[in-house]
Amino acid sequence: MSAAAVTSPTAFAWRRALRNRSAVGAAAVIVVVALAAIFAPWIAPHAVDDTDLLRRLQPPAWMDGGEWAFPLGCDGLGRDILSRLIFGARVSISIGLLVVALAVGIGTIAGLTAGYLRGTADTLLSRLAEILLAFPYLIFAVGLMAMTGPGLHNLVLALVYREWVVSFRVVRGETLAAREIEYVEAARALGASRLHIMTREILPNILSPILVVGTVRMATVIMLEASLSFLGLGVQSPTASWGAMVADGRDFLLDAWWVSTIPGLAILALVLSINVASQGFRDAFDPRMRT
Amino acid sequence: MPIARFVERILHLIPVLAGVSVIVFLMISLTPGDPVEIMLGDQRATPEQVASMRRDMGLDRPAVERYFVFVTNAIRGDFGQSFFHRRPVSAVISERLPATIELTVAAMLIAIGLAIPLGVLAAVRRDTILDRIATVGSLFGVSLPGFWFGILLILFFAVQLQILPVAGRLGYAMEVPAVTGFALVDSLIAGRMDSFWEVLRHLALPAFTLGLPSAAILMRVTRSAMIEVLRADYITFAEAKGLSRARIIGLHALKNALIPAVSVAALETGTLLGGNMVVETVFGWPGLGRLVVESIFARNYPLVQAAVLLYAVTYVALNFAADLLYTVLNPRVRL
Amino acid sequence: MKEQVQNASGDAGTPLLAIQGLRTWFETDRGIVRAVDGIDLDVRRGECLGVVGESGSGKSATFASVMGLIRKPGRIVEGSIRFDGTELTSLDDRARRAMRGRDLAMTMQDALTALNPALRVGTQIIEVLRAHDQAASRSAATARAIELMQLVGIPAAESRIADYPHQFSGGMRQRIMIAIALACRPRLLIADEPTTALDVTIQAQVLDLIAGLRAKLGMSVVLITHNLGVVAAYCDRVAVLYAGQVVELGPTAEVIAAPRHPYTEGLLRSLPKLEDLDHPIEPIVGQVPDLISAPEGCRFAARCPHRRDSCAAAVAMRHVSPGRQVRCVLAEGAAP
Repeated sequence: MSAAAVTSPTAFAWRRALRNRSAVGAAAVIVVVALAAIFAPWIAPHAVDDTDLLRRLQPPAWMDGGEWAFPLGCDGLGRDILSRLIFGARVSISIGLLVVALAVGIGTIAGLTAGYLRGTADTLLSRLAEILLAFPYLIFAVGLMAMTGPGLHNLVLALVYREWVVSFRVVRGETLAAREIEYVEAARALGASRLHIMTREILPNILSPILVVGTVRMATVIMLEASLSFLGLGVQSPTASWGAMVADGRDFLLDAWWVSTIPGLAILALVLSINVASQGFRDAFDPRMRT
Repeated sequence: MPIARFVERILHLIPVLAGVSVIVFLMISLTPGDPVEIMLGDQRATPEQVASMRRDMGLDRPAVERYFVFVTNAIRGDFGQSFFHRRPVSAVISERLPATIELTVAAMLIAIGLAIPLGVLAAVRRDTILDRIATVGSLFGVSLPGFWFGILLILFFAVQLQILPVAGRLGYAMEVPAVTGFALVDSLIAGRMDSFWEVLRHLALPAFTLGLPSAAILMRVTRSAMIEVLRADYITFAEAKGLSRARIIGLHALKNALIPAVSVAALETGTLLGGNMVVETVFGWPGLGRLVVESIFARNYPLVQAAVLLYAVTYVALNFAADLLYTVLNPRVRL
Repeated sequence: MKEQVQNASGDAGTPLLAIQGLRTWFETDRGIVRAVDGIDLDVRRGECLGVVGESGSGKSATFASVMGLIRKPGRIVEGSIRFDGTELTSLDDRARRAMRGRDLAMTMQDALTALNPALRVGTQIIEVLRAHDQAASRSAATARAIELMQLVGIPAAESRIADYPHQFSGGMRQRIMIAIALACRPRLLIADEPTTALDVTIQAQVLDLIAGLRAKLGMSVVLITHNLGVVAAYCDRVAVLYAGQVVELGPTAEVIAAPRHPYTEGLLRSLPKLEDLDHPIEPIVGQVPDLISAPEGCRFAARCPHRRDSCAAAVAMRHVSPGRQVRCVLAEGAAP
């Protein structure tokens, strides 16, 4: 603690985060999955759609009949499960990032507008948020996917339509509070423009709750994608998605348990890691929200 | 709660429900192309049949008029014909609804039964190994994909141990006449304890799978509410009165900690509505959730619309109930 | 009202409560907070003892120790607390619980937070009677609860017994808390800052109520306060606490007329004087020492106007006149 006197609050928060061992472990899992997603074509031992019915339901390498060329075994079409897992990480990570980034972007703009300008804009946006919140999340997404049909593009839109409300509510609340702070009032008194106050005075000061919401929501979005893909409403074959892989394996539960259970384990590991890491992140950066 | 505030809150629901109905109505316009043609798919239909279906769905009229017809019909419980079942949508839905309600209620009971005692225990024994286990357990609970966990449960209890059925709601030999549609109630009416037990066995795994994430959230809420309450002056004063530990925790602390916990429980019941689509699919449970999934693949749009609307209205009603429960439980607000 | 009321039970010669060498420490991240650090104090039968000190002086922690309400991270490190001959520090939980609320009772600073908001006041009175087997049946307990509410002066007690705490005014809530404390006719009532949360006009009513009930029930009262005016009006003796220790002890009238410890002197000087409102209030300069690293010698030395070299060594309580003790190197006087 000797250097504490000269460290910035951010550096201090990082140090606090790093001391949380389970959060660091969780962050490591996320990094591994993210790297697998980025470098999938180079590290995956086989192609996603490399089918061979001779290898149909081949067990993992450590079991009788397995071989190390297909370490986690093969699925019902003889495709390498490990390779599909690695490519599936792309779907989970990219949908998680894309949906959260879009939703947080929209939510932040809408939240700043509603919270700072108040009036009609606030009434309309808040009403819309309330209406969207009246739908259970998965039902809303399923309803939209049912109409628009499956696919990556539709999936992202269906999730963003409902997801932005979450960051909207957080940003609106924080903006309402930030409005009353002295430096914001001072900027207003000095005649700064609304846009300037919103983007330069308020936004930088509410960044940490926005980041906290973003990280927590990533877990929810990834889980929703997996659920939709499981139901057959998400990404379509031959693109690999963890949720769809679990669904595919259901037909062979009795003969080949690994087809279904291994991708599910990957979902659990990723979602759990994001939850643990975001909790550590929140504790370190936003002491107000500490549990 | 004063009547005026109660009425005000009810009135507040109207614009929300109106907005919900608009969104559900607009959903069908998201279909790429003509919904009727998509619904008919490969089936050969005469132009007259297409035209009559169009008329049935009101697609030949302007959108605003169509919306008002949709809403007035929906209020009367009329969602049109299920082309696929050749019966009214409402009839198909109400046939499947009891199974879903049964599953949801069972899941909520399991969630409450697990979460409240565990949350209290974790708070009372704070920072002990038990608290750690409960906290880690709740993290797992919210991170478990229900569809995958359900499969694991099937593999273990139904395939490996063979003590519980794999899927479904009731074995063929056990069928009882449907009176209420709730299999548990119906088997009691029929006086068939064997059927009753069989329904319970079928219900166990799906209800547990569905209830687990809610249990995790509810446990956290109970724990933190309890920790907060145990610090209160009135707990110290209750100790100074020489009351037993059981009475202090079970009455003085719990009665206050339950106020937030119960309203979260009501909210979570709403969240379960979404989860039952997945769980019903995994366990072959013949409820509304599975009907929706089936209908999507059958391109049965009117049924999907009706179900989404029903889910949303139920969700709004549950949120409202959570609000009411909060006021009823909290004497300070009730005045 | 300063007459000594003889308690029916026990030996009149020995004190009702005898605290000896009490140390109650709290383990925190920063170190051990010695909230109570060597307190010796007696409460005589039937007397009203005032306990005065700033917040952090250890006055509340001392009596929380007596009630057995010290929770982690705090604990009684050493010392003895004898209540009518029974050593409290070595009692098991069960025996302690049996005495709490029956033999020794306590009221807290703010009845609004001390009464459970989710339970009816009747329930909260009845449960203490039932916990100590003071009522044979529910109906007997209810009747007794109404009686108690009437005793503390709550109008229409029969109908208000089913009300919740928030439905009462601040003064009425305080009375209900007193009714709960007195329900089992305790021999010792510890009243922790009974007036701080109240309006000035209601303060006197509540204190008069406590004084009246003390006479009626023949109990001893410990009045914890930071208000010397309250002590002057209601207490037989006064103990002044500073930084976890007793610094001055004696009959109220004598201590107030002629304080012997510079801290007591400072406290008195910081009071506004009714007879001379032009007289400036003189606050005591400086702050209470950090109880994690309190000085070895006199703890008040840093703020004391009469400080000298000898203050650096530990100071014991000195008897200055019959019944008066002071912890100060300047105090000289008679043998005990």
